[in-house]
Amino acid sequence: MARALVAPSVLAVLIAGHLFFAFQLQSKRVDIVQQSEELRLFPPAAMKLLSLEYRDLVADLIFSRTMSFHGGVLKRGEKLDAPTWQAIYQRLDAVSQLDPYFVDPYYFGQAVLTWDAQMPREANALLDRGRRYRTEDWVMPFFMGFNAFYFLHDKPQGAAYLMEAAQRPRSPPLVGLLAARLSSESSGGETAIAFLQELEAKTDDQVAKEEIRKRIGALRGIWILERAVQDYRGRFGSAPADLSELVKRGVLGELPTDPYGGVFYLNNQGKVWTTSDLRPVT
Amino acid sequence: MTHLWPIAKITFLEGLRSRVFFGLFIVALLLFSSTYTLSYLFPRDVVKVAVDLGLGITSLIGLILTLFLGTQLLAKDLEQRTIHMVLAKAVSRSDYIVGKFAGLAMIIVCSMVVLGGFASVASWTVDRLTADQYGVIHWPIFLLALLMMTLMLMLLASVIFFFSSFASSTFLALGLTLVIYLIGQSVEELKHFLETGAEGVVISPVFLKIVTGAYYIFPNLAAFNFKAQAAHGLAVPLADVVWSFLYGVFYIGVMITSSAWIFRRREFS
Repeated sequence: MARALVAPSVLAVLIAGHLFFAFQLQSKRVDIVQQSEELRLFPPAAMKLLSLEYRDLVADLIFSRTMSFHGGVLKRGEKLDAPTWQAIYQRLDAVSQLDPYFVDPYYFGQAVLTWDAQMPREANALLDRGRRYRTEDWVMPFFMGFNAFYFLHDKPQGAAYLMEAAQRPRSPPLVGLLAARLSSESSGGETAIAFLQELEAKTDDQVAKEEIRKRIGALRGIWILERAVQDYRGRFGSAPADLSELVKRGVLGELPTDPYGGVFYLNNQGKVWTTSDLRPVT
Repeated sequence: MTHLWPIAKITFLEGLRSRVFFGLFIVALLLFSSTYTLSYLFPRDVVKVAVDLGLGITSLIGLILTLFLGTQLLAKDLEQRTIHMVLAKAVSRSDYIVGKFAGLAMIIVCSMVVLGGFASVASWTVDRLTADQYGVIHWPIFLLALLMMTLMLMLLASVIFFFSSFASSTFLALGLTLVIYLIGQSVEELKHFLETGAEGVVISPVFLKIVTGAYYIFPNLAAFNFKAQAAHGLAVPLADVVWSFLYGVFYIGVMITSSAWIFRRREFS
């Protein structure tokens, strides 16, 4: 009878011991698991070799782990420091090297690297790969243009990216208008006008076509006036006090009109702009 | 040549009866059923992830299946000495090798049809349940990826046969084939990496020569990988497909002919 109880009691003791150690182990491993959240990363070239024919799946895996790491930090209400943001960027960069056509890391990078991490340069470096590989996708250069303009304060570069976005299939006409606006504010209006003329020719939608024509008209007005102001400076040695002087002193026959219903004027920096601000005046 | 078909048929039926076969199919079914949940963890490229998973699982299970069945089918005859009975029946040794390979190739094709079918259903389900902006499946490239995967597994099977024709143990043949698989999947990338170079890394010309040599000796298995093209619907030039296909067929031819040649000279105790 006693012998029959030996096996069950030994088993009971072992199970109790197992449970004790399992809990101990779990509490010991919390730190280790948290550390591994930081994910040591092989260099992308090594990962390409190691992932064999499962490169896309490895990209998916690293990306989903990066997302859940970021999500975990947000959930715990922690703030990420610069090295951690750098690590997230490296992860997204590695994912996009393993699978450069994969769209999610680009969107994720655009969402977190710019606003939260204050790393617009890195965001654009990442997006540039997307722009080169996803050649049919207007969103990649559009994001880059936005970052250049809004975060990096680089209007000419921003305009160049937006123009590229506008020339890609299925991009909304708004992108083209925005590109032209940035371009005319930063460089000469000529680029903007030439670009809009091309865009108008490609657009089928009549409403969009009309809108583009209006903007061409307004930008051409600004361009004519800027050249006249330059001409005036050359002839009289100083800038005109206001644009009406151009007509009075015979530099221009008449002042162009703004198709948006505004009035052209000379701003503080001596540049020509319009009271409509290139939007319809109501 | 008359004995070729019966041997192929017996090998095929023997393989189908193997427990490994059904065990792996059940694992595959479980993995495929996770496709839906896993792909929805991704915000945008949902269908791409579903196709990645579908094709990835198919090739992984196909690989395990080929490695195990391939080594088992030949080794069984040698270890259980049934080979003596077969060869005593006036079956030439080349017929035996080619017939066995044909049987194994049939098993691979059948498994890939079933696994590919599972993968298609899993990916199709995800595709149907998501809006088009989250991606669509490009079926012709999807099928092409499955076809090339099948050819790659046949090539690997021919490598198993090559090693089994002279290796004394099953594990040796399996181990060597595994090494060939690892080299074959990465040699192209390694060669490219060494040729283009990395900043601040000095590459010895001798090493580059060795890798270039390896590139021509070992099978370039990456040439059969069309999974990324299928997942993203990237254009596949017809020439790429034709060259990979012919490359695969000729490599298999070389492997099987050499196996038969070595096997003919082998002495059985």
